[in-house]
Amino acid sequence: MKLKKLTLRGFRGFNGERSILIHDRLTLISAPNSHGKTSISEGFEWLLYGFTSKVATAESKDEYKDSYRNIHFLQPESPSVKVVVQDGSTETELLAILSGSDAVLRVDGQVVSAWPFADALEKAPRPFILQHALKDLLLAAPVDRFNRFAALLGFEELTQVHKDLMAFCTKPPLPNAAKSLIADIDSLVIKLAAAPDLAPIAKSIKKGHQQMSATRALIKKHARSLLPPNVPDAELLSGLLKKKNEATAKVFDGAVEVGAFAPDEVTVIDEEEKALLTLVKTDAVALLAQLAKQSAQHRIAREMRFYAIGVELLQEAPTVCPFCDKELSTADADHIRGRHASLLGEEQGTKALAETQRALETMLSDLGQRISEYYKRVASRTTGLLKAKESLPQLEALLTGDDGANLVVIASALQEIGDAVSSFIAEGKILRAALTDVQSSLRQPVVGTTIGEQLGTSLVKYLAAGRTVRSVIGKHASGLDVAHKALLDAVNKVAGTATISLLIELLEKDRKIEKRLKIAGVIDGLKVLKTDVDSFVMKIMLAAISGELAQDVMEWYKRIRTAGDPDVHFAGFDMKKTAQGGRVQIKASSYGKDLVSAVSSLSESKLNALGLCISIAINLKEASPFEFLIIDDPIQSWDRDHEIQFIHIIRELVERGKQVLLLSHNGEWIRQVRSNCADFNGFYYEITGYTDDGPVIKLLPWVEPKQRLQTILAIIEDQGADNVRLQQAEEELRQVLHQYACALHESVKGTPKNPATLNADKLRKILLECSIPTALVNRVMTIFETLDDAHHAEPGYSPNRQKLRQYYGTAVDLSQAVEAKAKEQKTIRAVPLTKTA
Amino acid sequence: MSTKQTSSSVLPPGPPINLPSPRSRRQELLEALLASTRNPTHARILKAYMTSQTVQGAEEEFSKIIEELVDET
Repeated sequence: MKLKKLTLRGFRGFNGERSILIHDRLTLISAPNSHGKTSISEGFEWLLYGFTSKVATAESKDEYKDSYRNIHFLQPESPSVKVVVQDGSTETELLAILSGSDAVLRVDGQVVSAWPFADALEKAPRPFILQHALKDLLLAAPVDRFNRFAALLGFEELTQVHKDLMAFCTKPPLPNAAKSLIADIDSLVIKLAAAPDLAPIAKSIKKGHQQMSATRALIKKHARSLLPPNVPDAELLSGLLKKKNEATAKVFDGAVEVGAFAPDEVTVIDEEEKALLTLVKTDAVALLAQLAKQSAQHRIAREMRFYAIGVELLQEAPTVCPFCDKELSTADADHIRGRHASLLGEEQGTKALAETQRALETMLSDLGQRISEYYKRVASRTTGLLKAKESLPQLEALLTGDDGANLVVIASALQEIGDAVSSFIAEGKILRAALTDVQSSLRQPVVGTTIGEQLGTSLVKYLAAGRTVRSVIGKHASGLDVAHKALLDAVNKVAGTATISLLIELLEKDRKIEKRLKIAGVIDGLKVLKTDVDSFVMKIMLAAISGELAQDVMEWYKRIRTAGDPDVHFAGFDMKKTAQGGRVQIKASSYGKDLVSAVSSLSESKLNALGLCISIAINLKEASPFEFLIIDDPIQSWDRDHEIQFIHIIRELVERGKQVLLLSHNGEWIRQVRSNCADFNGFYYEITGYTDDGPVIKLLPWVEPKQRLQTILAIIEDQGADNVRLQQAEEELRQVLHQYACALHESVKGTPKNPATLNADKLRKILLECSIPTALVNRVMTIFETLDDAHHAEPGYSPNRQKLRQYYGTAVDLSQAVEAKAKEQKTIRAVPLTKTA
Repeated sequence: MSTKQTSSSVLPPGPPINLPSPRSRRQELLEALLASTRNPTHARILKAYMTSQTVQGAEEEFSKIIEELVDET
């Protein structure tokens, strides 16, 4: 893909729209500093990547915020960059319009989400060699240099992987359950380490999971030492517990802890409260209302039973009344049978009544059970604590001195929790009574909803009391936990059971200790993963920067070197390992000796040259769909010899197929580039001024027409000139005729034209419109007939020297006619030919 | 100008691995890294990182591994 045309509008240093055509081989743009030159390379960068390297590498992104929009560009118009590219014979227009901080992309007018070559953009080297980026690369802090080299090599993803995994391995996230387990075991290990006789166990635990068997053996050995001989392993814990309890019971037999509600317990209790309320206030009330509606069925059911007995007795004595033993008329007997039959028709209703009664009985029975379970969930954990109320004198004796504060905590908790639980129990009794009322009323003929409402009210109060209990437990749990531990320590101290308690804890927490050590193993393993990732990234980077790439860079670097250079030079790449990971090291040598680093040893001009060589080597080495290379201000701090050397490199880049767009602040150097690359006949632009509308860009001749005429004459008169030289004279003729036509147009019509856009017909039209005598125009056109034939000739084609001499005469005549026209018009317009002469 | 001599590369030797090409994509890079990993826990973390394409994926997998250890019976 090559560039054809760039149009900038409202972007960076450009306010009004400016377009420049890009030559197929070499385009030069010369401009003093701060005249919008870099805005051109930034325009290409932004269009392709959506950002510029200046912004991407800026330490403060804020400083560049909204900087893509030219300050003078009027709202609400949107800045845009348009580039016409050519791929083979296909031309495509790419347009990026700034929208907020993003860009709207269009390909040949159609909006797209990404460029058609987006994949290549990610993979291919960036076709830019930017002075500011080169400096940033080489003079960056080591960690940044690694990342910027990686970016230059297309390794952004590698650095992201590196960064992600380094951060993860350094600080892995632990779930809460693991944190709590770790805290529990670590606190036990601290206590062990403080107990002189058990410190070896603490040391053994610290050695990790691989030492777990030895740790277990050590624990058992200590446990056995406190128990009668030959106690089996399975009975060690129970044996220790028995011994400890016997000893501590003499001092204090109880507990003052009350565990706080775990988050999952809170969730379960909250859900149960909601379910109980729904059960009573919705389901039960609905069934009670239904029962009230079915109340009439009570009488029907009784009547049905009554008449069923009558019908049964009538079968035994059809003429006797089954209810009073008197003689029964046929009509009365029919009435009994008819009434029974009629009641049978309403049997369905009585069945429904029975079902409602059964459903309510089941529901109320379930409710009773759930109320009991709710009580256990909320208040059962307080039983041990509340029992300790009876042992306050013992607690006062045990918790003395500094532990006195714990006694206050216990007393306060006993008071508040005790009151809350009492209230909870009282409300529970009321609720039970309400429940019994409902249960006993189910079989009564008339049931109102009042008892159901009473049940609901009681339940609400009961649950509120339950929540109060939960709340006071939450308030005192952590204080009681501390107090409980202090109490245990005090009890152990008085009872002489400190060691046995720790051994019990060790045996009880055997699995927890093992898990703690396994977790430690996994966390420690991340250090290995971190090293592996770092080593892997370093290997890839080293492979990428050493070998062929290093050789290529060295080759380019040698071409910039001059004979007079002191032998202090770039000497290749290496990777250096530091505490923060791998770093790209740029090596240098001085007369055969390795130096610490190129960055600290090479001059700025050599570092600049090195940066150029790295970029060139990468751009030529890696496969890329981009045939162009944009080089912005490459020569800085260079002496003349090095500048000339670099012109040879530019020639080579073009000859190796790269379309080069070269921008420089150094007009004299650009002139030398044109002179050394005269045969490329590229485009040369000069930014001659700058206003709030943006830069003033002029297209100037690549080579002055008079110089071309001299070249043509020199070739014609050189009898030794071969076909290639004569063909060059023909090409120079074409160029010079185009240039004179454009100069004529500008002096007569007042508007410039690009010589590269002319052909024979357009040229003829200009000459005639500007009143060049027809005879001379016809002679000029004769030249084009020959030149066009020559253009399509076979490779061995030999131009006619005599004809060339004749054509040279015509070109000179045209030059004189153009100059005469310019004088005739008395136009003082700046004619490029004279400006750059 | 410093003339202090540099030490040679201090890259750890490590097992031989098939390095991806300089411009390999993320997936290829991670596959190569995964292939060079012998530790099953690390493999799980790397696979999760590959699948999710975010470091959060690796963190979640690590949490899962730790939770499995905590819940182990």
